[in-house]
Amino acid sequence: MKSVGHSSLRLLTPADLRSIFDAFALLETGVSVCLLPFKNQKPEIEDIPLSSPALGFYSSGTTGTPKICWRAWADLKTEIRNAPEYAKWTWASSFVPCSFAGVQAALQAWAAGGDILSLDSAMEENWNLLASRLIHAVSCTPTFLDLLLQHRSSAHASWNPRQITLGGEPLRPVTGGRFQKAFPQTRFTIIYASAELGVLLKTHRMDGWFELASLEKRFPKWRIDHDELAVWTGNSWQATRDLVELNNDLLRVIGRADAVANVAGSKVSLDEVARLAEQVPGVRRALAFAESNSVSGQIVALRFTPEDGLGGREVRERLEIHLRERLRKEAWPRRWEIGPIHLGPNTKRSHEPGKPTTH
Amino acid sequence: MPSGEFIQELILGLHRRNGGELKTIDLDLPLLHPSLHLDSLDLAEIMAAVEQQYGLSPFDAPVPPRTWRDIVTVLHQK
Repeated sequence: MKSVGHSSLRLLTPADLRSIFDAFALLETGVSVCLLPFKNQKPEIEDIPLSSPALGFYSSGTTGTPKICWRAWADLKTEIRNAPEYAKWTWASSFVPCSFAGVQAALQAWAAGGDILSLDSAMEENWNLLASRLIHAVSCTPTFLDLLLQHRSSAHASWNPRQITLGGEPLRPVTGGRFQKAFPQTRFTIIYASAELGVLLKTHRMDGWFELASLEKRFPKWRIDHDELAVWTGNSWQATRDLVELNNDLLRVIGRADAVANVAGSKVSLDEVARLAEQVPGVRRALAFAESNSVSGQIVALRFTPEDGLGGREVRERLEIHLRERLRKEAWPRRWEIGPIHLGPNTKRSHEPGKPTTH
Repeated sequence: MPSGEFIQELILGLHRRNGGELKTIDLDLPLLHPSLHLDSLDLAEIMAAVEQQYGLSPFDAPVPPRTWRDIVTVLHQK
C-alpha cells in the first residue's frame, strides 16, 4: 500500500475479496482508496469526488473502456442490507476484487461482521470449499452458478446456502427455474447494477423481470430511448447502455446496447438471440456473437452447450426451427458451434476462456 | 470433398430449407438466380461455411464471383 499525490489516498491491490476489508477499514478513518488489479500500476487519478472518502475501482461500465470509477463511501454503505439474519455470515463470490460487484459482495460481508472467500474457475474445488466451510451465502453471475451446478456431486447435495445473490448478467427464466429447483430453501436476490450508478434494480423474481417500483425507489425519473434505459441522476440523464423491455409494472434487461451484430445494415441484439436459444429444451447455455462476413458485413454465430446426454445435432435442429419462427431473417444464426460456454472477465459468459466476447 | 460437391451440398441445403425442390444445382447460374430460392443472407451463410472450410472468401478475389462456378474455381485454385 502506498500514498500517491493526494494526501489521503491509498492504492491497494487486493489479492482476494477478503483483502478489500483493509480498504473498508481505511475508508472508515477518512482515507480514500483506489483498488488496482495489478501491482505497480500508475493510474491517472484526477477526479476523486469532493465528498471524500471515496473508493475507486476499475470498471468497463457504460462506455466499455476500462476506467477508474469513484463511489463515495457513504453512498456505497447505503446499498448494504443491514438485516440481523445476515450477521456474521460467510460469503463466497466469483467476482473479482476490483470490480463493483466484488466490492458490493465484500462490503455486505464486512458490514455484517462476517467473512468472504473468493471462488475461481475450478468448480470441484469450489464445491469442496462451499461444503466444508459451510458457506451461508453466494454472490456470482448466473453463468457461474449454472456451471457450478453442473459439477455438483451427491457428496455436495446437502449444502444449501441461505442466500444466493445473482448479478452481472440478465437471468434467463429457464436458468432461474433450474436454480430454484436445485436450491429450494435458498433465498435468491437478483441485482441489476452499474459501477457508475450503483444498484438500479433488485428483485426476488426468478423469471428475469424486475418490479418497476424497485427502479423508481432509487431513480424516480427514468426513460427508455430506443429500447435503452436512462436514469435522471439529479443533474443529467445517464444512459445505462442496457436494452430493456417494459411490460406494465415490470422491466426486463435484455442485454447490452453495444452487444449487437450489424447484418446487412440491420442491427441484431445478440443477447436476445441467446435468450431465445435458451428457451429450447436441451440447450443448457447459449452465446450469440457477431462474426465478420464478406457478403453481409457481419453474421450472427451461435455457440451452445447441450444438456448432458443430448446430441448436439438433434438439439441444433430444434434450435434452428425455434429461432427461425421467432427472429427476423437477419438475426438467424448463420454459423453454429457446439461446445462449452466459458467464463470470461468477472465470470460473465464468453466463447473464449478469460476473454470478453467480441461484438 | 471436392469444392464443387461441397458448394452443391451447401446450396441444396438452404434451397430446400427455403422450400425449393431442385435435385441438383447448375453451377453456371448466377449466385442469386430466382430458381435457387436464395437471398443475400443465405449467400452470407454459405460464404461463412466456405470461409470456415477453406480459410478464404471468394469475395476477396480481384473480381467478385458472379456465378457458383466462379466460386468453385476460386476454391479449386487454393
